Amino acid sequence: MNLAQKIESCRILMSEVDSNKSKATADLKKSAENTKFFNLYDETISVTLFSYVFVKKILNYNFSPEIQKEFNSCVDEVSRILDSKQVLNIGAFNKRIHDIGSRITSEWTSYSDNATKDYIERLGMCRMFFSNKMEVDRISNAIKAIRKWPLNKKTIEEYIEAKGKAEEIFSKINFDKEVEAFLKKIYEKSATMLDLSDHIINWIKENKFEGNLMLSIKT
Amino acid sequence: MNVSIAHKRLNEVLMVDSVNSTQFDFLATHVPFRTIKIKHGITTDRDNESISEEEIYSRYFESDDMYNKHQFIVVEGSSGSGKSHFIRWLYAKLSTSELNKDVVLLIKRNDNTLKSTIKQLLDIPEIKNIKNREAYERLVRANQTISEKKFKDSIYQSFIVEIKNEDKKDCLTSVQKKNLTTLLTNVLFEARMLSAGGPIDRIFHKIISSSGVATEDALFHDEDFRLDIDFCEDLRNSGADKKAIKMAETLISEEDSEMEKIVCSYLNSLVENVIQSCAGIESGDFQQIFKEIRQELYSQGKNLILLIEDITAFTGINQALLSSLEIEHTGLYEDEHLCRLLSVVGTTSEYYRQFRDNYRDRITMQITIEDGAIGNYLDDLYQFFAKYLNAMSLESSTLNEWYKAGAMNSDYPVHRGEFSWSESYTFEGKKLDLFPFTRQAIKNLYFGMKEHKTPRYILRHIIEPTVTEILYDKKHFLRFLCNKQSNLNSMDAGKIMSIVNNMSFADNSEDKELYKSRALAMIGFWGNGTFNSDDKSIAGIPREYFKEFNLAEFANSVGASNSSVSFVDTSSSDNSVVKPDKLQFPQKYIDTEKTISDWHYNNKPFFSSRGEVRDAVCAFVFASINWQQAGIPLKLKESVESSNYKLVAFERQDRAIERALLILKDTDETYNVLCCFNRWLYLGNKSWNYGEYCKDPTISVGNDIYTVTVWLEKHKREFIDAILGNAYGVLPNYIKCGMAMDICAKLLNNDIECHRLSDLSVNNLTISNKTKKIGIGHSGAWDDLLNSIYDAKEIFSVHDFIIGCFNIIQGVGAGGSKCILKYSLVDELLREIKKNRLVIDVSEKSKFPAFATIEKGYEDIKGKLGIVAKSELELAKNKIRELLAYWEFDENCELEESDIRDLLNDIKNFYNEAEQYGITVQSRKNEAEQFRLKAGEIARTIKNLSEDYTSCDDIDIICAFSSNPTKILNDLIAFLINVNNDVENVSSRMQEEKNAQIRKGVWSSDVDPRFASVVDSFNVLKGEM
Repeated sequence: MNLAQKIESCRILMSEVDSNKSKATADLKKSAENTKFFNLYDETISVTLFSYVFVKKILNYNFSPEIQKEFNSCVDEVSRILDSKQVLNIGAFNKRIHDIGSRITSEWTSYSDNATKDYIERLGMCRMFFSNKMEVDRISNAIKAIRKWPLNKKTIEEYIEAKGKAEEIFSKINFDKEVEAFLKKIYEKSATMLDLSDHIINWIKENKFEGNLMLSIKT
Repeated sequence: MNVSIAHKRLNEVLMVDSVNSTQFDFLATHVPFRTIKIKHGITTDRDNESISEEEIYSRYFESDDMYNKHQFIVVEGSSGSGKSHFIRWLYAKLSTSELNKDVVLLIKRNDNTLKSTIKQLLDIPEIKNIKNREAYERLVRANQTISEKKFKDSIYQSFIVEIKNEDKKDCLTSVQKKNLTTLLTNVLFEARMLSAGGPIDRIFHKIISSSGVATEDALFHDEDFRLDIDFCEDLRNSGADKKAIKMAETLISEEDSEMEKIVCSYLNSLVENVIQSCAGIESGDFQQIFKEIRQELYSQGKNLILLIEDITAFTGINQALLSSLEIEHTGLYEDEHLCRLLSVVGTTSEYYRQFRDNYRDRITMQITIEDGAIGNYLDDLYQFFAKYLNAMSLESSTLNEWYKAGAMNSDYPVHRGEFSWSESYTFEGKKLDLFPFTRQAIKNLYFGMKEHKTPRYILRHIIEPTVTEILYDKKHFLRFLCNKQSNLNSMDAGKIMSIVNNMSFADNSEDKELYKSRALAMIGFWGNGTFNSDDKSIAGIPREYFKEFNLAEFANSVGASNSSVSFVDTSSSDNSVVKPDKLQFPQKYIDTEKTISDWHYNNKPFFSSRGEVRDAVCAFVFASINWQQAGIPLKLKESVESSNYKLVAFERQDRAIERALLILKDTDETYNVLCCFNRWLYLGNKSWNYGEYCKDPTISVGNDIYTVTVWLEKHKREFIDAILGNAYGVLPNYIKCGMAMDICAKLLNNDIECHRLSDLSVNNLTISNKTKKIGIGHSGAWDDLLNSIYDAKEIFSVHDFIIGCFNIIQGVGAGGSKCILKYSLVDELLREIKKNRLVIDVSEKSKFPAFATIEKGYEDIKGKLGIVAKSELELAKNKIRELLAYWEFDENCELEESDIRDLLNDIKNFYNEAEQYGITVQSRKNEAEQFRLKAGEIARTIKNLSEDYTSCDDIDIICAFSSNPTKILNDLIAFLINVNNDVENVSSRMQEEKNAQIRKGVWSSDVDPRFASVVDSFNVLKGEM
C-alpha cells in the first residue's frame, strides 16, 4: 500500500470513528453476546476448523464418526448464527464447543502418538551414530510437534518436511531387523556382549561405527 | 619657528579639542570663520544664509531685539570641522561681554559625563541657594562607594535585563535576542566585554566620572563583536550553551556580515537606559534640576546662556537635556517663573540627523560649519598655519600677557623667524614665519587631503607631523610623507630617482631608499609641480630649504639649467687622470676579481664564497625586470625571490648549484657582467657611482651600466622562463594546481554552484573559502574529502596565494586588503584548466617545496574525485529509490510534478481532517505546503539526478552535485517518513477506537459488523471440510 492509499484508508477510518461517536444508542446486551461468540469463534472454532481442514487434506486424517457428527452439528450452528447475524443461547453453545474440542484433542493425541512413535524411536537409535545430533533433535521435535492440537499450517508443513528428512537418515544408516533389534537394546541400555553376533560386527565395520561403540562392565 | 620653545609648547598649542587649550592659545590661533551657514528654524523653506561669526554674534547675542527671546541654537558639522572652536569663541566673547545679567556656562566635551554635567550646573555661584541642593549633591555622589568590579558587573547585567524586557521589533528577532542574551551570559564572552578598554569599561567611566576624564564615547563599537573562529572554538570546547555558540557563529559568518553592526546598534539603543539606571538618575531628575536652576536664576533676575560643546557625547542624558532646553520661559510656561534660556548646542551632523525631526519646531536656528570652510579662502588657510606656528614659537607667558592686555590684534605678539629666506604671512602688518612650510606646501598638503578638510585634521595630519619631524628627526625630514602620493608626474619622479640612484651613500641601501622618498616628497609637496631648476631654486623651492632639510647633496646634483636636469657626476669633477697603481682598491674587490678571473680564464670553480656578487646579480635582475608587464604576477616573483633558491648560479659553482633556477655559462659575457657587479658592489658601494675609482682609465661607470643593461635585455626571456618553472601554458603548473585545488574545495564545500565545469567563471574564484559544511546531505566520501582538504588548512593559504598571483600591484606597496585582479590572465588560465578538465600534468614537480606541496595536494584531491563522484551518484540513486517507494513506483518510473503535488495535497487533507476530528497529531500542513511549492524543483532534481552520467567525467559529476541537489530529496524523505509514521499511528489508534466502539455496540448500521468480517473465511473453511 503506498502512502496515498494509507492516507485514504486512514481518512475513511477517522471519518467512520467520528461518525460512530455521534451514534446516540448502543445495544450493549446484544453486543456482549456477540463478543462472547466472536471470542469463541476466534479462539476455538476457527482454529479447530482450520486444523481439521489441513490434517484431512495433508495427512488424510478423519475424525471418528461420532466426533464428526457432533463437529458437523456445531459447524452448522455457526453457519446459522452467521447467516442470521444473531447469537442465541451462547452459554450452551460455548459448552458444546469446549466439549467437542476436548474430545477432538484426545482423539488426535492418540492418533498422532501412534503415527509418530516409530519415527521418534528410530530417530533415537540413529542419533547415537549421527554426527549432527542437533539436526536429528530438530527433526524429532518437528515430528513430535504434530501431536499438539490444534495445529497450524506451519506445524503441519514442518512435520511433512521432517518426515522426509527422517527417511533420508534412515536410508543412510542401513539396518535390517537384527541390527534394529540390537540397536533397540542399546537404546534401552539392555544390550550385552552376547548380542554382538558376526552379523552385527560386520554391520558395525561396514558403516565404520567402531569408534562410536564402547564396552563397559556392569557390577 | 623657534625650535627650543616649540619643543615645550607643541602639545599645548596643538590641543585638538579647542575647549581644552588655554584662553590665550585659543585666541592666538583663532582664525575667524568668514562664512557660516545659518538657517532660521529647520522647518522654514528659506535658503541658507552665509554670514561671518561676528555677524552671528551681533545679531543673535548682542541685539536688544533678541535679548529676551528664548533661543535654541544647534551648531552642526562633521567631526573636527570647528564647531567647538566656534562655541569656544562665543564663550570668550560672552565672558568678556558686559551683559552681566547672563550666567554663561560652557560644558566641555571631556566634562560631559552625566554626573559632571549636573555638578557643573550646581557649581554656578548664582544657584547656591537652590532648593533640594543637598538631595542633588547626594545624587551626584551616589555609587561612588561601590567597587569597580561590582559596578561593572551591575552595568553588564543591566544590559541583559534591558534586552529581556524591551520589545523593539526592528533590530533583532526574538530568537536572536535570546541567543544574544545567552552569549552575553557566557563567561568567556563576559570576560571579553568587561576587559580593560572594552565597552563596559567605557560606559563605566562615563557613569562614574565627575571630574571630566571620560573622553571616549560610552557606546559599543562594531569591533567589540568582531569574533574569530578561535573564539567560537573556545566556546565549543568550554561547553558553552548552543544558543551562545549559534550567536557567535552568526557574528563571524560572512554571509551575515552586517550582524555585528546590527547587534552593536541594538545594544547602543539600550545604553541610555542602562546608564540612567546604573547611575541612579532618571531623566525626570535631570529636568527637575534644570527647571529649579532656571527658577532660581529668574528669582535673581538673571538669564542663562548654556553652551554645550558636543551633545553627541552626552550619552545617558541626551533626551533629557534636549527636552529641558526646549522649554521656553514665556507662553505656556510663564507661570513656572523660569529664566530666559539661550542655548547653543554643538553636535555632529550624523547625530543631529537622529534627533532633528523630534525637535524640528523647537530649534530656533541651525548653524552649519562645513568641511573646508577654512580652505575656501587660501588666505585664511595660510593665516591658520602661520598663527599656530607663531603660537608654538612664543612662550606662554608672552601670549598670556597679550591676553590680559585685551588680546588686541594690533598687539599680537610675533616671533622672529630663524631664516631670512623662509616664507611668511602678513597679519595686521606683522610678518608671521611660515617655516618649515611654504605657501605652496600648505596648498599642496591641504588639497592633497582626501577627506575631513577640517581644522582638527589639518592640525593632526599636517602641522603636527611636520613640526614633530623638524623638532625630533630633522635629518629625515618628510619621512612621514614618504608613502603619500604627490602630484609629481612619473617622468619627473623618474628623473629624481635616477639622480638619487647615481648618488653615493656611505651607509646601507635603506638610507638611499629613504633619501629617494624624501627627495620625491620634497619636490612633490613643497614644489610647484614642475621640476624646473635654476641656481636659486628647484621646483620653485629655494635651494636653502634643501640644505636645511638634509637634501643638499640632492640639490647639488640637480643642475641649474632652466628646463632640464643635468646629471652632475661628482666623481668626475676632478678631471685629472690618476695612475691605477696610486689607487687603493678594497681587498674584497681584489679577491673577488681574482676568483672571477680564475673561473673564466683558468677553468677553476666559482667559489660560493663570492656569493655577494651572485646575490647582487640576482637582486639586480629581480629589481630591473618589469615582471607584471612580462606576465608574471609579483606574488609569484616574490615567492621565488624569498625562497631558498637562487635565480642564478654559475657554471662550475662549488656549492648549491642544484638550488639555482638558471646556470650561467662561463662565457666572456658572463665574465664581464660579474666584473661589472664586482665594481658596483665594492667600488660603488652598491651604486654605479665609483667615486675616485673612476680615475682609473680602465673603469667606466657608463660602460658598466651599458654592459649589464644589454646583458639583462638579452637574457630577459630566460629569467622569465626560469621563474615560470614547469609551465606548459600561461603559468606554472603549481599555480594551475592551486587554482584547480581551490575550485575543487569550493565545489565540494558548495561555495560555488555550477552545473557543469564550463559554467565556472572568474568571479567564482574570487570568493574566499568559507567554513567547511559537513553533514549537509552529501555522501560519506564527499565529506571525507572535504574534511581532508579543510583539516590540512592549506586551502586558505592556497586561495590567498592564487589571488595574490593575479593581483596587479600598483605603486610600490604590496599591502592592502583590496585586490585588483588581472582579469585577462585569470580568465586565460581558467579557460586552460577547464579545457583540460582539471587534468594537470605534474609528473615534473616544482623545484620549490612550497609549490611542490600544492601540486601534491592537488594530485591527492584529483585521485579521490572518482570515488567521490561514484558514491555521490550511488547516494542519489538510493535517495530516489527511497522516495519513489512512497508512490510504489519502480526506478524506471518518472515521478512527475503532479504526482508530488497530489500526494502533498492528500497529506494536507489528512492533517486538516485529523485537526477537524480533534485527533492529536503534530500538524505538518505548512511543511507540506512548502514542499508543494517546490514540487517542480523536486521533480526536476529527480529527473536530473536520474540522468545517465556514464558519459560525464568525475569533475562534471562533482559540479552537478556542488549545489547539493540531494538535500531537497533528503528533506522530502525525512518529511514523508514523519507523515507515514503519523498516518500509521493515527490508523492504529482509529482502528483500536473503532474496535472499542464495535464492542460497545456502536455500529455504523444496525448489524454487528463482525458477522460480515468472518463469514467469508468461515465459508471457505467449511467448504474445504
